[in-house]
Amino acid sequence: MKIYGQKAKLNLLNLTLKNIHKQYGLHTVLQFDEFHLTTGIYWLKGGNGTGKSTLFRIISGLTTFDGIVKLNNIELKKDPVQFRSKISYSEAEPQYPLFITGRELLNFYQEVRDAKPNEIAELTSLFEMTPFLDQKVGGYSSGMLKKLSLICAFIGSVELIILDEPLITIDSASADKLMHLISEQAKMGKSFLLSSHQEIDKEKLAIATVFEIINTQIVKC
Amino acid sequence: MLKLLLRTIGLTFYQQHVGLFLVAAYLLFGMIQGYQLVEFHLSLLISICSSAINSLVILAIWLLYTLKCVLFVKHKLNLAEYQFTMMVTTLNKSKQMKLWVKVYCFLMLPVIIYAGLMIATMVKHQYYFGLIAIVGLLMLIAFAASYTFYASNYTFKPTRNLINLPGIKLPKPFWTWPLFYLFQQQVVLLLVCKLVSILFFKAILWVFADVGPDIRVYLTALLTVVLSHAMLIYHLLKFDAHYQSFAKSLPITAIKRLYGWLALFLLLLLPEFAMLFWLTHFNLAILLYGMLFSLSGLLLLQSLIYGLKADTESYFKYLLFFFFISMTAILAGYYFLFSLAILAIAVAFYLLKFNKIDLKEIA
Repeated sequence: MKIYGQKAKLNLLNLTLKNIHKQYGLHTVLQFDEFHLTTGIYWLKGGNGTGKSTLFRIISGLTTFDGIVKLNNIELKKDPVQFRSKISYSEAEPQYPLFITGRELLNFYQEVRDAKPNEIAELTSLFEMTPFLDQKVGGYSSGMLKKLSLICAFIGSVELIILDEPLITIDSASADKLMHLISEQAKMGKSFLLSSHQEIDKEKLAIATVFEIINTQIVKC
Repeated sequence: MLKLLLRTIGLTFYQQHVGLFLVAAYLLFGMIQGYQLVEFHLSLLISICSSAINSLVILAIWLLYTLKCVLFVKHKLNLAEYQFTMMVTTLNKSKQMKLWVKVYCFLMLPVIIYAGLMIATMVKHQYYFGLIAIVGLLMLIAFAASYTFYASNYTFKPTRNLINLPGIKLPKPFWTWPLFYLFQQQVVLLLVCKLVSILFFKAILWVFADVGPDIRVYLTALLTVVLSHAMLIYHLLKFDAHYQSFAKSLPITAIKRLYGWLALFLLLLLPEFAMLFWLTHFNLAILLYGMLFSLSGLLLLQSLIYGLKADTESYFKYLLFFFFISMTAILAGYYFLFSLAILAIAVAFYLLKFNKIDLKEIA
Protein backbone atom coordinates (compact mmCIF):
# COMPACT_ATOMS: atom_id res chain seq x y z
CA MET A 1 0.00 0.00 0.00
CA LYS A 2 1.31 3.43 -0.97
CA ILE A 3 1.93 6.09 1.60
CA TYR A 4 0.44 9.33 0.36
CA GLY A 5 1.66 12.78 1.21
CA GLN A 6 5.04 14.32 1.79
CA LYS A 7 7.42 12.36 3.93
CA ALA A 8 8.74 15.43 5.72
CA LYS A 9 10.02 14.97 9.23
CA LEU A 10 7.34 16.11 11.64
CA ASN A 11 7.71 17.34 15.19
CA LEU A 12 5.75 15.77 17.98
CA LEU A 13 2.45 17.57 18.21
CA ASN A 14 1.76 19.82 21.13
CA LEU A 15 -1.51 21.67 20.74
CA THR A 16 -2.72 23.70 23.69
CA LEU A 17 -5.88 25.73 24.07
CA LYS A 18 -6.08 27.90 27.19
CA ASN A 19 -8.88 29.96 28.72
CA ILE A 20 -11.06 29.63 25.65
CA HIS A 21 -14.25 31.60 25.54
CA LYS A 22 -16.41 31.82 22.44
CA GLN A 23 -19.90 33.16 22.17
CA TYR A 24 -22.31 34.04 19.38
CA GLY A 25 -24.33 37.01 20.52
CA LEU A 26 -25.31 36.22 24.10
CA HIS A 27 -24.98 32.46 23.65
CA THR A 28 -21.74 30.98 24.96
CA VAL A 29 -20.70 28.03 22.81
CA LEU A 30 -17.35 27.15 24.35
CA GLN A 31 -15.81 28.01 27.69
CA PHE A 32 -13.01 25.95 29.15
CA ASP A 33 -9.68 26.43 30.89
CA GLU A 34 -7.42 24.03 29.04
CA PHE A 35 -7.43 21.48 26.25
CA HIS A 36 -4.28 19.66 25.26
CA LEU A 37 -3.42 17.29 22.40
CA THR A 38 -0.24 15.42 21.58
CA THR A 39 0.53 13.33 18.49
CA GLY A 40 -2.28 10.93 17.65
CA ILE A 41 -5.77 10.53 16.25
CA TYR A 42 -8.57 12.14 18.23
CA TRP A 43 -12.31 11.88 17.82
CA LEU A 44 -14.61 14.64 18.97
CA LYS A 45 -18.19 13.52 19.58
CA GLY A 46 -21.24 15.57 20.24
CA GLY A 47 -24.71 16.39 18.97
CA ASN A 48 -25.69 19.23 16.70
CA GLY A 49 -24.91 22.70 18.02
CA THR A 50 -22.58 21.56 20.79
CA GLY A 51 -19.68 23.55 19.36
CA LYS A 52 -17.58 20.97 17.50
CA SER A 53 -17.29 23.01 14.31
CA THR A 54 -16.72 26.17 16.34
CA LEU A 55 -13.82 24.48 18.13
CA PHE A 56 -12.35 23.41 14.79
CA ARG A 57 -12.80 26.89 13.37
CA ILE A 58 -11.01 28.34 16.40
CA ILE A 59 -8.05 26.00 15.98
CA SER A 60 -7.95 26.74 12.25
CA GLY A 61 -7.91 30.48 12.84
CA LEU A 62 -11.20 31.03 11.07
CA THR A 63 -13.16 32.64 13.84
CA THR A 64 -12.63 35.11 16.66
CA PHE A 65 -12.28 33.93 20.25
CA ASP A 66 -10.89 34.86 23.64
CA GLY A 67 -7.97 32.80 24.89
CA ILE A 68 -4.74 31.25 23.68
CA VAL A 69 -4.21 28.62 20.98
CA LYS A 70 -0.68 27.32 20.67
CA LEU A 71 0.84 24.67 18.42
CA ASN A 72 4.39 23.64 19.23
CA ASN A 73 5.11 27.06 20.75
CA ILE A 74 3.62 28.93 17.80
CA GLU A 75 0.77 31.08 19.06
CA LEU A 76 -2.12 31.50 16.63
CA LYS A 77 -2.79 35.12 17.54
CA LYS A 78 0.87 36.13 17.40
CA ASP A 79 2.00 34.28 14.27
CA PRO A 80 -1.13 33.21 12.37
CA VAL A 81 0.61 32.49 9.05
CA GLN A 82 3.21 30.19 10.61
CA PHE A 83 0.48 28.54 12.69
CA ARG A 84 -1.73 27.92 9.66
CA SER A 85 1.17 26.37 7.77
CA LYS A 86 1.13 23.57 10.35
CA ILE A 87 -2.56 22.71 10.25
CA SER A 88 -5.17 22.00 7.63
CA TYR A 89 -8.91 21.93 7.93
CA SER A 90 -11.67 20.32 5.92
CA GLU A 91 -15.09 21.79 6.62
CA ALA A 92 -18.21 19.69 7.12
CA GLU A 93 -19.92 21.38 4.19
CA PRO A 94 -17.17 22.81 2.00
CA GLN A 95 -17.88 25.77 -0.28
CA TYR A 96 -15.71 26.69 -3.24
CA PRO A 97 -16.27 29.12 -6.13
CA LEU A 98 -18.54 27.34 -8.60
CA PHE A 99 -16.66 28.39 -11.72
CA ILE A 100 -13.23 26.99 -10.86
CA THR A 101 -12.27 23.43 -11.72
CA GLY A 102 -11.12 20.87 -9.21
CA ARG A 103 -7.66 21.03 -10.76
CA GLU A 104 -7.48 24.82 -10.35
CA LEU A 105 -8.36 24.52 -6.67
CA LEU A 106 -5.79 21.78 -6.11
CA ASN A 107 -3.15 23.80 -7.97
CA PHE A 108 -3.86 26.70 -5.61
CA TYR A 109 -3.41 24.43 -2.58
CA GLN A 110 -0.26 22.95 -4.10
CA GLU A 111 1.19 26.44 -4.53
CA VAL A 112 0.25 27.63 -1.04
CA ARG A 113 1.29 24.41 0.72
CA ASP A 114 4.40 24.03 -1.45
CA ALA A 115 3.41 20.45 -2.28
CA LYS A 116 4.65 18.14 -5.03
CA PRO A 117 2.40 17.52 -8.07
CA ASN A 118 2.68 13.73 -7.72
CA GLU A 119 1.30 13.98 -4.19
CA ILE A 120 -1.91 15.49 -5.52
CA ALA A 121 -2.07 13.00 -8.38
CA GLU A 122 -1.86 10.13 -5.89
CA LEU A 123 -4.55 11.58 -3.65
CA THR A 124 -6.97 12.29 -6.49
CA SER A 125 -6.38 8.81 -7.86
CA LEU A 126 -7.03 7.26 -4.44
CA PHE A 127 -10.39 9.00 -4.14
CA GLU A 128 -11.18 8.34 -7.84
CA MET A 129 -11.45 12.04 -8.56
CA THR A 130 -8.92 12.26 -11.41
CA PRO A 131 -11.50 12.06 -14.25
CA PHE A 132 -13.48 14.97 -12.76
CA LEU A 133 -10.64 17.39 -12.10
CA ASP A 134 -11.26 19.48 -15.21
CA GLN A 135 -14.95 19.88 -14.44
CA LYS A 136 -16.19 23.01 -12.72
CA VAL A 137 -16.85 22.65 -9.00
CA GLY A 138 -20.41 23.89 -9.59
CA GLY A 139 -21.13 20.61 -11.40
CA TYR A 140 -19.85 18.40 -8.57
CA SER A 141 -22.15 16.31 -6.41
CA SER A 142 -21.97 16.87 -2.64
CA GLY A 143 -19.90 13.67 -2.31
CA MET A 144 -17.40 14.81 -4.93
CA LEU A 145 -17.14 18.20 -3.25
CA LYS A 146 -16.48 16.53 0.06
CA LYS A 147 -13.79 14.32 -1.45
CA LEU A 148 -12.16 17.37 -3.04
CA SER A 149 -12.15 19.10 0.33
CA LEU A 150 -10.58 16.01 1.98
CA ILE A 151 -7.90 15.87 -0.71
CA CYS A 152 -7.11 19.56 -0.08
CA ALA A 153 -6.72 18.82 3.63
CA PHE A 154 -4.09 16.16 2.96
CA ILE A 155 -1.95 18.34 0.69
CA GLY A 156 1.42 19.43 2.08
CA SER A 157 3.37 18.56 5.17
CA VAL A 158 1.06 19.84 7.88
CA GLU A 159 1.25 18.50 11.41
CA LEU A 160 -2.40 18.48 12.36
CA ILE A 161 -5.28 17.67 10.02
CA ILE A 162 -8.74 18.63 11.24
CA LEU A 163 -11.61 16.88 9.52
CA ASP A 164 -15.12 18.04 10.36
CA GLU A 165 -17.61 15.24 9.65
CA PRO A 166 -15.32 13.56 7.09
CA LEU A 167 -17.70 10.66 6.51
CA ILE A 168 -20.83 12.53 5.50
CA THR A 169 -21.91 12.34 1.85
CA ILE A 170 -19.00 10.09 0.75
CA ASP A 171 -19.64 6.46 -0.22
CA SER A 172 -18.53 3.58 1.99
CA ALA A 173 -15.62 2.62 -0.28
CA SER A 174 -14.24 6.16 -0.07
CA ALA A 175 -14.82 6.17 3.69
CA ASP A 176 -12.71 3.01 4.01
CA LYS A 177 -9.96 4.55 1.87
CA LEU A 178 -10.07 7.67 4.04
CA MET A 179 -9.69 5.63 7.23
CA HIS A 180 -6.73 3.81 5.72
CA LEU A 181 -5.17 7.07 4.58
CA ILE A 182 -5.53 8.57 8.05
CA SER A 183 -3.87 5.49 9.57
CA GLU A 184 -0.99 5.66 7.11
CA GLN A 185 -0.44 9.37 7.65
CA ALA A 186 -0.64 8.94 11.42
CA LYS A 187 2.20 6.43 11.15
CA MET A 188 4.21 9.18 9.43
CA GLY A 189 3.71 11.38 12.50
CA LYS A 190 0.71 13.46 11.47
CA SER A 191 -2.07 14.05 13.96
CA PHE A 192 -5.79 14.11 13.33
CA LEU A 193 -8.75 15.69 15.01
CA LEU A 194 -12.01 14.31 13.65
CA SER A 195 -15.64 14.86 14.36
CA SER A 196 -18.29 12.41 13.34
CA HIS A 197 -21.88 11.64 14.19
CA GLN A 198 -21.29 8.13 12.92
CA GLU A 199 -19.44 5.65 15.10
CA ILE A 200 -15.83 5.28 14.04
CA ASP A 201 -14.62 1.70 13.86
CA LYS A 202 -11.76 1.62 16.35
CA GLU A 203 -10.34 -1.45 14.61
CA LYS A 204 -9.85 0.57 11.44
CA LEU A 205 -8.52 3.65 13.19
CA ALA A 206 -6.35 3.73 16.30
CA ILE A 207 -8.16 6.49 18.16
CA ALA A 208 -6.02 7.86 20.99
CA THR A 209 -8.81 9.61 22.86
CA VAL A 210 -12.48 10.32 22.34
CA PHE A 211 -13.71 13.71 23.49
CA GLU A 212 -17.14 15.17 23.83
CA ILE A 213 -18.35 18.74 24.26
CA ILE A 214 -20.81 18.96 27.12
CA ASN A 215 -22.09 22.32 28.34
CA THR A 216 -19.32 24.33 26.65
CA GLN A 217 -16.60 22.08 28.15
CA ILE A 218 -14.47 19.46 26.40
CA VAL A 219 -14.49 16.21 28.36
CA LYS A 220 -12.87 12.81 27.81
CA CYS A 221 -15.28 9.96 27.13
CA MET B 1 -48.57 39.42 0.16
CA LEU B 2 -48.00 42.79 -1.56
CA LYS B 3 -47.05 44.40 1.77
CA LEU B 4 -44.55 41.64 2.45
CA LEU B 5 -43.01 41.92 -1.02
CA LEU B 6 -42.71 45.69 -0.71
CA ARG B 7 -41.17 45.41 2.76
CA THR B 8 -38.65 42.81 1.65
CA ILE B 9 -37.80 43.21 -2.03
CA GLY B 10 -38.97 46.83 -2.36
CA LEU B 11 -37.21 48.38 0.61
CA THR B 12 -34.07 46.29 0.11
CA PHE B 13 -33.86 47.59 -3.45
CA TYR B 14 -33.85 51.20 -2.32
CA GLN B 15 -31.45 50.45 0.55
CA GLN B 16 -29.00 48.66 -1.70
CA HIS B 17 -29.04 51.34 -4.37
CA VAL B 18 -28.77 54.39 -2.18
CA GLY B 19 -25.35 55.15 -3.73
CA LEU B 20 -26.90 55.26 -7.19
CA PHE B 21 -29.78 57.50 -6.08
CA LEU B 22 -27.39 59.73 -4.20
CA VAL B 23 -25.23 60.37 -7.25
CA ALA B 24 -28.34 60.82 -9.45
CA ALA B 25 -29.81 63.31 -6.96
CA TYR B 26 -26.54 65.20 -6.87
CA LEU B 27 -26.41 65.35 -10.67
CA LEU B 28 -30.02 66.49 -10.96
CA PHE B 29 -30.34 68.87 -8.02
CA GLY B 30 -26.98 69.42 -6.34
CA MET B 31 -24.98 71.04 -9.09
CA ILE B 32 -27.34 73.80 -10.16
CA GLN B 33 -27.88 76.95 -8.14
CA GLY B 34 -31.24 77.38 -6.45
CA TYR B 35 -32.93 79.92 -8.71
CA GLN B 36 -31.78 78.15 -11.87
CA LEU B 37 -32.87 74.72 -10.70
CA VAL B 38 -36.57 74.96 -11.63
CA GLU B 39 -35.73 76.63 -14.94
CA PHE B 40 -33.21 73.91 -15.77
CA HIS B 41 -35.65 71.08 -15.06
CA LEU B 42 -38.46 72.77 -16.98
CA SER B 43 -36.19 73.16 -20.00
CA LEU B 44 -35.10 69.57 -19.65
CA LEU B 45 -38.71 68.34 -19.52
CA ILE B 46 -39.68 70.45 -22.53
CA SER B 47 -36.67 69.24 -24.50
CA ILE B 48 -37.61 65.62 -23.77
CA CYS B 49 -41.30 66.10 -24.64
CA SER B 50 -40.62 68.08 -27.81
CA SER B 51 -38.08 65.79 -29.42
CA ALA B 52 -38.51 62.18 -30.50
CA ILE B 53 -34.77 61.55 -30.10
CA ASN B 54 -34.67 62.97 -26.57
CA SER B 55 -37.75 60.94 -25.72
CA LEU B 56 -35.99 57.80 -26.95
CA VAL B 57 -32.88 58.67 -24.92
CA ILE B 58 -34.93 58.95 -21.71
CA LEU B 59 -36.67 55.68 -22.61
CA ALA B 60 -33.26 54.01 -23.01
CA ILE B 61 -32.29 55.19 -19.52
CA TRP B 62 -35.59 53.85 -18.15
CA LEU B 63 -34.94 50.57 -19.95
CA LEU B 64 -31.64 50.22 -18.08
CA TYR B 65 -33.32 51.03 -14.79
CA THR B 66 -36.07 48.47 -15.50
CA LEU B 67 -33.43 45.88 -16.34
CA LYS B 68 -31.75 46.58 -13.03
CA CYS B 69 -35.08 46.13 -11.20
CA VAL B 70 -35.90 42.89 -13.03
CA LEU B 71 -32.49 41.37 -12.32
CA PHE B 72 -32.62 42.50 -8.72
CA VAL B 73 -35.99 40.79 -8.23
CA LYS B 74 -34.78 37.66 -10.05
CA HIS B 75 -31.68 37.48 -7.86
CA LYS B 76 -33.72 37.89 -4.68
CA LEU B 77 -36.27 35.26 -5.69
CA ASN B 78 -33.44 32.76 -6.16
CA LEU B 79 -32.14 33.26 -2.61
CA ALA B 80 -33.02 30.69 0.02
CA GLU B 81 -34.33 33.38 2.41
CA TYR B 82 -36.84 34.52 -0.24
CA GLN B 83 -38.31 31.07 -0.79
CA PHE B 84 -41.52 32.32 0.83
CA THR B 85 -42.21 34.26 -2.37
CA MET B 86 -42.95 30.94 -4.08
CA MET B 87 -46.32 31.23 -2.34
CA VAL B 88 -47.17 33.84 -4.96
CA THR B 89 -47.19 31.11 -7.61
CA THR B 90 -50.21 29.50 -5.95
CA LEU B 91 -52.32 32.52 -7.01
CA ASN B 92 -54.00 32.58 -10.41
CA LYS B 93 -52.22 34.23 -13.33
CA SER B 94 -54.16 37.48 -13.25
CA LYS B 95 -53.59 38.01 -9.52
CA GLN B 96 -49.89 37.22 -9.87
CA MET B 97 -49.50 39.67 -12.76
CA LYS B 98 -51.29 42.43 -10.84
CA LEU B 99 -49.07 41.77 -7.83
CA TRP B 100 -45.84 42.00 -9.82
CA VAL B 101 -47.06 45.12 -11.65
CA LYS B 102 -47.61 46.77 -8.26
CA VAL B 103 -44.18 45.64 -7.03
CA TYR B 104 -42.48 47.05 -10.13
CA CYS B 105 -44.46 50.29 -9.84
CA PHE B 106 -42.98 50.63 -6.35
CA LEU B 107 -39.46 49.85 -7.55
CA MET B 108 -39.82 52.25 -10.48
CA LEU B 109 -41.37 55.04 -8.44
CA PRO B 110 -38.67 57.62 -9.32
CA VAL B 111 -39.24 56.90 -13.02
CA ILE B 112 -43.03 57.03 -12.65
CA ILE B 113 -42.83 60.38 -10.82
CA TYR B 114 -40.69 61.76 -13.63
CA ALA B 115 -43.13 60.35 -16.20
CA GLY B 116 -45.91 62.22 -14.33
CA LEU B 117 -43.97 65.46 -14.68
CA MET B 118 -43.54 64.73 -18.39
CA ILE B 119 -47.31 64.24 -18.83
CA ALA B 120 -47.97 67.57 -17.09
CA THR B 121 -45.42 69.25 -19.37
CA MET B 122 -46.97 67.67 -22.48
CA VAL B 123 -50.46 68.87 -21.53
CA LYS B 124 -49.28 72.39 -20.69
CA HIS B 125 -46.97 72.93 -23.66
CA GLN B 126 -48.79 70.78 -26.24
CA TYR B 127 -45.71 68.71 -27.12
CA TYR B 128 -46.49 65.03 -27.61
CA PHE B 129 -43.22 63.32 -28.53
CA GLY B 130 -42.92 62.46 -24.83
CA LEU B 131 -45.72 59.93 -25.39
CA ILE B 132 -43.09 57.62 -26.91
CA ALA B 133 -41.34 57.40 -23.56
CA ILE B 134 -44.63 57.12 -21.59
CA VAL B 135 -45.96 54.26 -23.74
CA GLY B 136 -42.52 52.66 -23.61
CA LEU B 137 -42.56 52.90 -19.82
CA LEU B 138 -45.92 51.13 -19.60
CA MET B 139 -44.55 48.39 -21.84
CA LEU B 140 -41.44 48.10 -19.68
CA ILE B 141 -43.54 47.62 -16.52
CA ALA B 142 -45.67 45.00 -18.29
CA PHE B 143 -42.52 43.26 -19.53
CA ALA B 144 -40.94 43.27 -16.07
CA ALA B 145 -44.06 41.81 -14.45
CA SER B 146 -44.47 39.17 -17.20
CA TYR B 147 -40.83 38.17 -17.00
CA THR B 148 -40.97 37.73 -13.22
CA PHE B 149 -44.24 35.80 -13.53
CA TYR B 150 -42.66 33.49 -16.11
CA ALA B 151 -39.38 33.10 -14.19
CA SER B 152 -41.11 32.20 -10.93
CA ASN B 153 -43.75 29.87 -12.41
CA TYR B 154 -41.70 28.00 -14.99
CA THR B 155 -38.55 27.27 -12.99
CA PHE B 156 -38.50 23.67 -14.29
CA LYS B 157 -37.81 24.79 -17.87
CA PRO B 158 -34.09 24.53 -18.67
CA THR B 159 -32.43 27.84 -19.44
CA ARG B 160 -30.50 28.21 -22.65
CA ASN B 161 -27.55 30.46 -23.23
CA LEU B 162 -28.45 33.00 -25.89
CA ILE B 163 -24.81 33.76 -26.48
CA ASN B 164 -22.22 31.01 -26.38
CA LEU B 165 -18.80 32.53 -26.08
CA PRO B 166 -15.85 30.37 -27.18
CA GLY B 167 -14.34 28.68 -24.16
CA ILE B 168 -10.91 30.25 -23.75
CA LYS B 169 -8.92 28.74 -20.92
CA LEU B 170 -7.36 31.53 -18.91
CA PRO B 171 -5.06 31.00 -15.97
CA LYS B 172 -6.88 31.83 -12.74
CA PRO B 173 -4.56 32.99 -9.97
CA PHE B 174 -6.38 33.09 -6.63
CA TRP B 175 -6.59 36.89 -6.46
CA THR B 176 -8.48 36.98 -9.78
CA TRP B 177 -11.26 34.62 -8.64
CA PRO B 178 -13.58 37.48 -7.64
CA LEU B 179 -13.12 38.94 -11.13
CA PHE B 180 -14.04 35.61 -12.74
CA TYR B 181 -17.04 35.54 -10.42
CA LEU B 182 -18.17 38.87 -11.88
CA PHE B 183 -17.57 37.78 -15.46
CA GLN B 184 -19.22 34.40 -15.06
CA GLN B 185 -21.95 34.84 -12.49
CA GLN B 186 -22.64 38.58 -12.20
CA VAL B 187 -22.31 39.77 -15.81
CA VAL B 188 -25.35 42.05 -15.67
CA LEU B 189 -24.34 43.57 -12.34
CA LEU B 190 -20.90 44.26 -13.78
CA LEU B 191 -22.29 45.73 -17.01
CA VAL B 192 -24.83 47.95 -15.25
CA CYS B 193 -22.19 49.08 -12.75
CA LYS B 194 -19.71 49.98 -15.49
CA LEU B 195 -22.37 51.69 -17.57
CA VAL B 196 -23.64 53.77 -14.63
CA SER B 197 -20.07 54.55 -13.59
CA ILE B 198 -19.05 55.75 -17.04
CA LEU B 199 -22.32 57.67 -17.52
CA PHE B 200 -21.89 59.52 -14.22
CA PHE B 201 -18.22 60.14 -14.95
CA LYS B 202 -19.07 61.71 -18.31
CA ALA B 203 -22.06 63.60 -16.88
CA ILE B 204 -19.94 65.34 -14.22
CA LEU B 205 -17.35 66.34 -16.82
CA TRP B 206 -20.13 67.61 -19.08
CA VAL B 207 -21.81 69.64 -16.33
CA PHE B 208 -18.52 71.28 -15.36
CA ALA B 209 -17.28 71.67 -18.94
CA ASP B 210 -17.18 75.48 -18.53
CA VAL B 211 -14.82 75.27 -15.52
CA GLY B 212 -11.84 74.24 -17.63
CA PRO B 213 -9.16 71.68 -16.78
CA ASP B 214 -9.49 71.58 -12.99
CA ILE B 215 -8.33 68.43 -11.19
CA ARG B 216 -11.22 68.83 -8.72
CA VAL B 217 -13.72 68.25 -11.53
CA TYR B 218 -12.00 65.00 -12.49
CA LEU B 219 -11.84 63.88 -8.87
CA THR B 220 -15.55 64.67 -8.41
CA ALA B 221 -16.23 62.55 -11.48
CA LEU B 222 -14.09 59.78 -9.97
CA LEU B 223 -16.02 60.06 -6.71
CA THR B 224 -19.18 59.14 -8.64
CA VAL B 225 -17.21 56.24 -10.14
CA VAL B 226 -16.27 54.99 -6.65
CA LEU B 227 -19.86 55.32 -5.42
CA SER B 228 -21.16 53.54 -8.53
CA HIS B 229 -18.97 50.58 -7.55
CA ALA B 230 -20.28 50.46 -3.97
CA MET B 231 -22.66 47.56 -4.61
CA LEU B 232 -20.16 45.72 -6.78
CA ILE B 233 -17.59 45.79 -3.97
CA TYR B 234 -20.29 44.62 -1.58
CA HIS B 235 -21.07 41.63 -3.81
CA LEU B 236 -17.37 40.82 -4.22
CA LEU B 237 -16.87 40.71 -0.47
CA LYS B 238 -19.98 38.59 -0.02
CA PHE B 239 -18.55 36.20 -2.58
CA ASP B 240 -15.20 36.19 -0.79
CA ALA B 241 -16.83 35.50 2.56
CA HIS B 242 -19.04 32.73 1.21
CA TYR B 243 -16.87 30.90 -1.29
CA GLN B 244 -13.30 31.84 -0.42
CA SER B 245 -13.44 31.65 3.36
CA PHE B 246 -11.57 28.31 3.21
CA ALA B 247 -8.46 30.27 2.18
CA LYS B 248 -8.33 31.91 5.60
CA SER B 249 -7.19 28.62 7.11
CA LEU B 250 -4.24 28.62 4.72
CA PRO B 251 -0.89 30.30 5.40
CA ILE B 252 -1.53 33.41 3.29
CA THR B 253 -0.53 36.76 4.74
CA ALA B 254 -2.94 39.66 5.12
CA ILE B 255 -0.69 41.90 3.04
CA LYS B 256 -0.70 39.40 0.17
CA ARG B 257 -4.50 39.32 0.23
CA LEU B 258 -4.57 43.12 0.30
CA TYR B 259 -2.28 43.33 -2.74
CA GLY B 260 -4.68 40.96 -4.47
CA TRP B 261 -7.66 43.21 -3.75
CA LEU B 262 -5.73 46.28 -4.87
CA ALA B 263 -4.78 44.61 -8.16
CA LEU B 264 -8.39 43.54 -8.62
CA PHE B 265 -9.72 47.07 -8.04
CA LEU B 266 -7.12 48.43 -10.45
CA LEU B 267 -8.33 46.02 -13.14
CA LEU B 268 -11.95 46.97 -12.41
CA LEU B 269 -11.30 50.68 -12.82
CA LEU B 270 -9.06 50.37 -15.88
CA PRO B 271 -11.75 51.64 -18.33
CA GLU B 272 -12.37 54.74 -16.20
CA PHE B 273 -8.64 55.39 -15.78
CA ALA B 274 -8.09 55.00 -19.53
CA MET B 275 -10.92 57.50 -20.15
CA LEU B 276 -9.49 59.91 -17.60
CA PHE B 277 -6.03 59.75 -19.17
CA TRP B 278 -7.48 60.34 -22.61
CA LEU B 279 -9.84 63.16 -21.61
CA THR B 280 -7.08 65.01 -19.73
CA HIS B 281 -4.90 64.83 -22.83
CA PHE B 282 -2.58 62.30 -21.20
CA ASN B 283 -1.94 64.32 -18.05
CA LEU B 284 0.00 61.88 -15.90
CA ALA B 285 -0.31 63.89 -12.68
CA ILE B 286 -4.13 63.94 -12.85
CA LEU B 287 -4.14 60.22 -13.65
CA LEU B 288 -1.95 59.42 -10.64
CA TYR B 289 -3.98 61.62 -8.27
CA GLY B 290 -7.15 60.07 -9.68
CA MET B 291 -5.84 56.53 -9.25
CA LEU B 292 -4.74 57.23 -5.70
CA PHE B 293 -8.12 58.70 -4.79
CA SER B 294 -10.26 56.03 -6.50
CA LEU B 295 -8.30 53.00 -5.32
CA SER B 296 -8.11 54.37 -1.78
CA GLY B 297 -11.85 55.00 -1.95
CA LEU B 298 -12.59 51.43 -3.02
CA LEU B 299 -10.30 50.03 -0.33
CA LEU B 300 -12.09 52.19 2.21
CA LEU B 301 -15.47 50.84 1.05
CA GLN B 302 -14.08 47.33 1.41
CA SER B 303 -12.93 48.02 4.98
CA LEU B 304 -16.31 49.55 5.73
CA ILE B 305 -18.12 46.41 4.60
CA TYR B 306 -15.81 44.22 6.70
CA GLY B 307 -16.09 46.51 9.70
CA LEU B 308 -19.87 46.70 9.49
CA LYS B 309 -20.13 42.94 8.86
CA ALA B 310 -21.89 43.61 5.56
CA ASP B 311 -24.80 45.38 7.23
CA THR B 312 -26.24 47.23 4.24
CA GLU B 313 -28.19 49.79 6.23
CA SER B 314 -25.12 51.05 8.10
CA TYR B 315 -23.02 50.75 4.95
CA PHE B 316 -25.25 53.20 3.10
CA LYS B 317 -25.21 55.65 5.95
CA TYR B 318 -21.42 55.61 5.83
CA LEU B 319 -21.53 55.94 2.03
CA LEU B 320 -23.50 59.14 2.44
CA PHE B 321 -20.94 60.37 4.95
CA PHE B 322 -18.10 59.36 2.63
CA PHE B 323 -19.74 61.25 -0.23
CA PHE B 324 -20.07 64.50 1.71
CA ILE B 325 -16.65 64.39 3.32
CA SER B 326 -14.98 63.50 -0.01
CA MET B 327 -16.78 66.36 -1.78
CA THR B 328 -15.68 68.77 0.92
CA ALA B 329 -12.05 67.60 0.73
CA ILE B 330 -12.00 67.75 -3.07
CA LEU B 331 -13.61 71.19 -3.31
CA ALA B 332 -11.31 72.55 -0.58
CA GLY B 333 -8.29 71.29 -2.52
CA TYR B 334 -7.15 68.77 0.13
CA TYR B 335 -7.66 65.80 -2.18
CA PHE B 336 -4.09 64.47 -1.90
CA LEU B 337 -4.01 64.50 1.89
CA PHE B 338 -7.53 63.13 1.97
CA SER B 339 -6.61 60.28 -0.40
CA LEU B 340 -3.58 59.41 1.72
CA ALA B 341 -5.66 59.52 4.88
CA ILE B 342 -8.36 57.16 3.57
CA LEU B 343 -5.70 54.85 2.14
CA ALA B 344 -3.95 54.70 5.52
CA ILE B 345 -7.24 54.04 7.33
CA ALA B 346 -8.27 51.32 4.87
CA VAL B 347 -4.89 49.55 4.89
CA ALA B 348 -4.50 49.75 8.67
CA PHE B 349 -8.02 48.44 9.20
CA TYR B 350 -7.53 45.53 6.81
CA LEU B 351 -4.17 44.48 8.24
CA LEU B 352 -5.28 44.80 11.84
CA LYS B 353 -8.64 43.13 11.38
CA PHE B 354 -7.73 40.40 8.87
CA ASN B 355 -7.28 37.75 11.56
CA LYS B 356 -10.02 39.13 13.76
CA ILE B 357 -12.92 38.84 11.35
CA ASP B 358 -15.03 35.72 11.02
CA LEU B 359 -16.05 35.67 7.37
CA LYS B 360 -19.03 33.52 8.31
CA GLU B 361 -20.59 36.61 9.90
CA ILE B 362 -20.28 38.46 6.58
CA ALA B 363 -21.43 35.63 4.31
